[in-house]
Amino acid sequence: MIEKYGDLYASVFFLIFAIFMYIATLNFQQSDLVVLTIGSEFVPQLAAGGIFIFAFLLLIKGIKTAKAMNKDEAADVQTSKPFHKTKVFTVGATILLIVLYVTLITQIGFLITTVVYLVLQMYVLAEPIKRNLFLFVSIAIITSGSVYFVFREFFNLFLPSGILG
Amino acid sequence: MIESLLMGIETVFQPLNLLILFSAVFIGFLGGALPGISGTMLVVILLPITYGFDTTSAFLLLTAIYAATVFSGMISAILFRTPGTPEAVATVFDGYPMAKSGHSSRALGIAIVSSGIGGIFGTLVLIFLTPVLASVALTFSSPEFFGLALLGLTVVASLSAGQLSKGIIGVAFGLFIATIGIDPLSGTQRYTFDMNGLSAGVELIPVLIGLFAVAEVLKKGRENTKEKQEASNTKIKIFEKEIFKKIYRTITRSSLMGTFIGILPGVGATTASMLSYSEAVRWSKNPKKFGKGAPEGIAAPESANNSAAMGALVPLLALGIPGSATTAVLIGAFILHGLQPGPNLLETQSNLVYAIFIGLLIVNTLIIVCSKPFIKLFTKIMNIPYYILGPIILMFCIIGTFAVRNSVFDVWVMLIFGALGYLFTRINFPVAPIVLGVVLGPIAEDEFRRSLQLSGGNWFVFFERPVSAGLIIVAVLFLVYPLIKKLFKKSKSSLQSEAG
Repeated sequence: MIEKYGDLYASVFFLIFAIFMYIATLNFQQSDLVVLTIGSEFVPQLAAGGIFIFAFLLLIKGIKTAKAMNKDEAADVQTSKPFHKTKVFTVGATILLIVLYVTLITQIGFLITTVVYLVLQMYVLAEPIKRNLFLFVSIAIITSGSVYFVFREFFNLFLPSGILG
Repeated sequence: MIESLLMGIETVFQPLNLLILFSAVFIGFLGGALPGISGTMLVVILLPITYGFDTTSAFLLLTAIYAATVFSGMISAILFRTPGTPEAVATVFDGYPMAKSGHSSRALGIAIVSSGIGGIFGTLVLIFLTPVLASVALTFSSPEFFGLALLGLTVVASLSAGQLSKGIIGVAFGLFIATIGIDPLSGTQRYTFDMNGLSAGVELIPVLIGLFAVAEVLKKGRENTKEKQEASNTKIKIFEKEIFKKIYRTITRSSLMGTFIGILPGVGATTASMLSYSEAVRWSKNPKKFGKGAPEGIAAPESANNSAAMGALVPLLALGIPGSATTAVLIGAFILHGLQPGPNLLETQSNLVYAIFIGLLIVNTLIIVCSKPFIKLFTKIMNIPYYILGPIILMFCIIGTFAVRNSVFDVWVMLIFGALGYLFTRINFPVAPIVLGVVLGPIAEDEFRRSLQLSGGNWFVFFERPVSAGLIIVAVLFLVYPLIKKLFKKSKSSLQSEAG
């Protein structure tokens, strides 16, 4: 479904976006100290104009494509539905896990949060018959530990540290 | 030049840099060989890690990974009929049939030799052509740099995979992202909405990691969890005299072609490998053998894609124009390290540039020498399912983004672009043009406004100087060419149908 109306979705999104982008440039507070031939709003307005024109062209193309594809709708729905459900769940759960991971990593700390995140993420992505919790936990502990050591000792980079380090 | 090359050799042959090159080849082999991890993605993920590195070591690592991933995409293309990188698509045509007929060792050997020779040839052209092009570009001022940036932006025509409208929208969207923050010329706040995190603008790294890496993992999800077949007992014969006699002409022709195509802005290694494959068929006395395991059918794309990857670095280092998505990311790497690729880079950082040259020569030699043990190891590693790889990649994305500025705000930005990138790929909207807009947009804007400022608002300033006028005309031609081609095709087919 989303692939079928892809051009339509994209064009509507970018048409609205271009209007918002253009209106926002009207509120740019120009400095009185610098006199410029071309103001700071010129390029954003040009970009907004470009997006609007080409999104409009895409909208016309999208309508044509959707009309042409509607003829084969029955076959299309039959083939795409089962895949879609699993995919939506996987992507939704993955985004939710990442949001939780990023929120908790600064509160709890890198090591523990990463181990838990990796195990849960592997569990979500794996097909039910391939879920092996012992393997997932082992990989998560080894990966997190090595990354923690290499990042801090070799690359001198900071990792988020919370109450548990 | 000789002096600079000797300095480059001295820099690269320090033990730490040699170790970095060797590790980069290993990482690049691994990334390129694993379907689902592209060269661009690998360079993007490792970019934040190089922040703590000395500049030379950082670029030796990134450019070596870039070269090694282009090479190693052929391993899974030949053994499993799954190109590890897009550049290896044409290698499947004859590589897989040869492997299937029981000659996988020969197929891999031909690919290794062809890639190595192609890569070394491309690097030699890079070494000799970059200083020439850069010295010409040193005479450039703002209008010419605007022309160059515009020419670079027209790469969109090839990065948008035949969807020019979407490509142009993508570039303009990238330009919008680049304008967020304080305008450097006037001090005006643009699209910051009183948010402190946006005042300094949107960092390039979170955008790159989000669009290329996070979006790819979200897209792959459960798609790629099927176990790969075991390719055990893969013995590789790197050099067979009889075979080499058959393919050396193809390697020479394809290396030349690949390098030339790579230098052209926007025509990357994938196009080079496809074109040289079709040329190999055209030049062959027996075209029917192609597609059934012809040695020339492996040699042509492999020598072309590796030489093109090196050729694409010529405009990057000499003019600051990216030729592909990965080279656009490499421009981002230069910016991250406080450098601006272009004609001045060779003047101010000649040691770095020549170290990169020497590093690439060594990497292409290492490709021939090290591939044998590496391939044996990777045929086993390639069986790692994506449900294990994916979460590890995501973890690297998150901590890599955080590590650049110790900023959680950047991680949220990365996630937003990851989700956007995923949605864009679902609706078949190309993301590479967005990166092009983010990287080249600010250069184009600054030079455009500076030119007009210096000329007192004279809009003809761009056409009064021959080089900038020429660059702008070429840029417009590059952009309009696909449209003319499409119209020409349409009118030709309508004429044919009328005649029929």
